[in-house]
Parts: sequence; C-alpha cells; structure tokens
Amino acid sequence: MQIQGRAMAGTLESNDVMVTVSPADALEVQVTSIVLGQFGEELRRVALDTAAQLGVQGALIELDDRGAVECTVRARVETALTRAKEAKA
Amino acid sequence: MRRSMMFVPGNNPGMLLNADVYGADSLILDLEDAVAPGEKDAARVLVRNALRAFDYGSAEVIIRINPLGTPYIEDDIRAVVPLKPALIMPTKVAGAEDIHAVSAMILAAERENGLPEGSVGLIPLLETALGIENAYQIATADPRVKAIFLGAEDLSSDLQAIRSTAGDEILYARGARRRGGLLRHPLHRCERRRGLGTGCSFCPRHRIHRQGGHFAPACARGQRGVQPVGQGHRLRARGHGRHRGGRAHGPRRGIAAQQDD
Repeated sequence: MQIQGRAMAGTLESNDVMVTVSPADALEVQVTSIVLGQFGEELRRVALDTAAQLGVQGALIELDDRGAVECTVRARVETALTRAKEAKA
Repeated sequence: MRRSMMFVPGNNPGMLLNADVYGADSLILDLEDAVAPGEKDAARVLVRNALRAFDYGSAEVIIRINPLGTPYIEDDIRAVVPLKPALIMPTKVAGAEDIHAVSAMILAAERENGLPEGSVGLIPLLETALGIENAYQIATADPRVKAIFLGAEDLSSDLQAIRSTAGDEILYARGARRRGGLLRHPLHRCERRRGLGTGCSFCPRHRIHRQGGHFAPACARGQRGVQPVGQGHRLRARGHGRHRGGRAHGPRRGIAAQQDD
C-alpha cells in the first residue's frame, strides 16, 4: 500500500486515539498518550504491526492516544492508512 | 429473548468497549444514524475489530446498516456478513423488493466468505408509512427475515405526526407489525413503575426513549431502561409472575411482561 497524502482517523474522546498519517520514506511512529509510560511501546508496536499487515512500507504515523485498547488502535491506524492511500498528495 | 435491545454507536470505541455491562439482551451496533457520513469507513473497521476482540457474552449481536439507495450499503454488507452477526438490521425498508435486494447482496457476500447460503438473518427496520403498509409482505418476503422492527420516531416524522407519550400516532403501525407475523418480536408491557414511566399501556420502549433520552429497546445508548426491564424479570423469577397459556406475564404491579406478540 502506497501512502499518497495526509489523512486522519479517530477522535480525541476517551478510549479513542487520533491517528495522523503522512507520506515518508520509512515507517515511523510518534506517540503521545495519557498512558505513555505504561503503554507507549505497546502502542508503537501495534501501529507498526498494523501498517506492516497492510503492506505499508513508508509512512509517518502519529498517535494521539486517549486510552484506546488494542483493537481500537488497530482500527484507527487501518482507517487512517486506507484514507491516506486514497488521499491526494 | 429480546426484552431489551440497546443501540451502540458504531464509531465510538468507549461505548463498544462497555456495551455489555448493562445486560441488554441484544446489542445493536449501529453503522447508520449514529455514524456521521464521513466516518462510515472508520465505523466498519472499528465494529469489525470490536467483534473480534470483545466477548459480548450471551448478548445477541445485531448490526444496523445503511439503507438501500445510499452509497454505503454495499460496503456495509461486505464488511458485516463475515462477522456473522445474529441478525442484520436493514433500514428504511419499504417493501418486499427491498428485502429481495438486500438478500441478494448478502447471498453474494455469503458465497464470497464461504458461509452457508441463507445463514445470515434479517430484522428489517420499518420506519416509513409505506413500510408499515407493506409490513406483511416484508415479513414474509424471505426466510432470512426473523423479526421486524418498528422505528417509531422516523415513522412519526414521515407521518408528520407529533410523537406523544401515549403513542396513539403509532397504534396502527403496531397493528400492522402484528399482522406481519412478527412472532419473535418482543413487546414490553408496563404499568406504573419507576424508570419505565407511567401509564404506558403497550410498550415502554417508546416511553423510555421519551423519558430517558437515551434508552429504548428500540433506541438505546444507555442504562436507564435495561435495569428496570431486568428487574421485572427477576421479580418473575422469584415467583411474582404468573404464566397463562404459555405466555409470560409480569408481576402484578409490575413491568416488563414480555410477550411474544
């Protein structure tokens, strides 16, 4: 999957995560979270794993997390990447 | 048993996460009105992931999809069928031909996913005057149809009627629904009881909706209604109820006599 432009998914409500995706040469994840200390690494891992599953090789994925569980993070990252694939550069 | 049916917005992770805590018999995960047009794609993915990750226990999972004629329904059906919900709720159903159209799309999705043909059931939402007129045809259009559901709010606006607590404006619709052979659709009856409102002679779901703003078995995001409905059943379980002719009736002063109407 090729990332064409910038796209977002999710909200800043509690239990959700706002994901912003933009084109990049390699996969990179930046995390801000209310639970960064406990789950920062987990969030990064889940975002990278979701991107890899979708065959994305280059993207900057920014997570602004409000306490999302794993399946929510995966859903929001997938939606943002799918939208970014269709977005205009 | 569908004593209480709780609507859960399909694009809200917190509500999906906590959907089972109120003990509703059915959870209706909503891809339609609870989801903004620009977020339909996000909701499909979120609902899919939620159903894979969460165990809703004994609750029956129903997914409400967007109506025919919208650009969403094909993607909805493609996303929802592999999740094998107990039922799919198509919306704004106006006649048997709508059921045939939805059923054909579901059949294609069943084949694509290697599911047995006809395995996905429907609980069409009737919420227009035309849909009510055609209730019998809709209910008998296809073996997939397991129940039909009266959308009283949208029906009232279609009728240009004012929604009242007494519910006279939907009396005819209730009758049509019965003729439609809705043998599995529950009807809650209540008399006077806190939480379910007073004097509701037919069906508290409309009442609860009015009062709580949140809950109705036909319209719920919340807590208020489920608990009193469950209470009625607990009372009955303790011997306060009576049984007549195989039908369950509620406690004497009580609520929530659940009928299979």
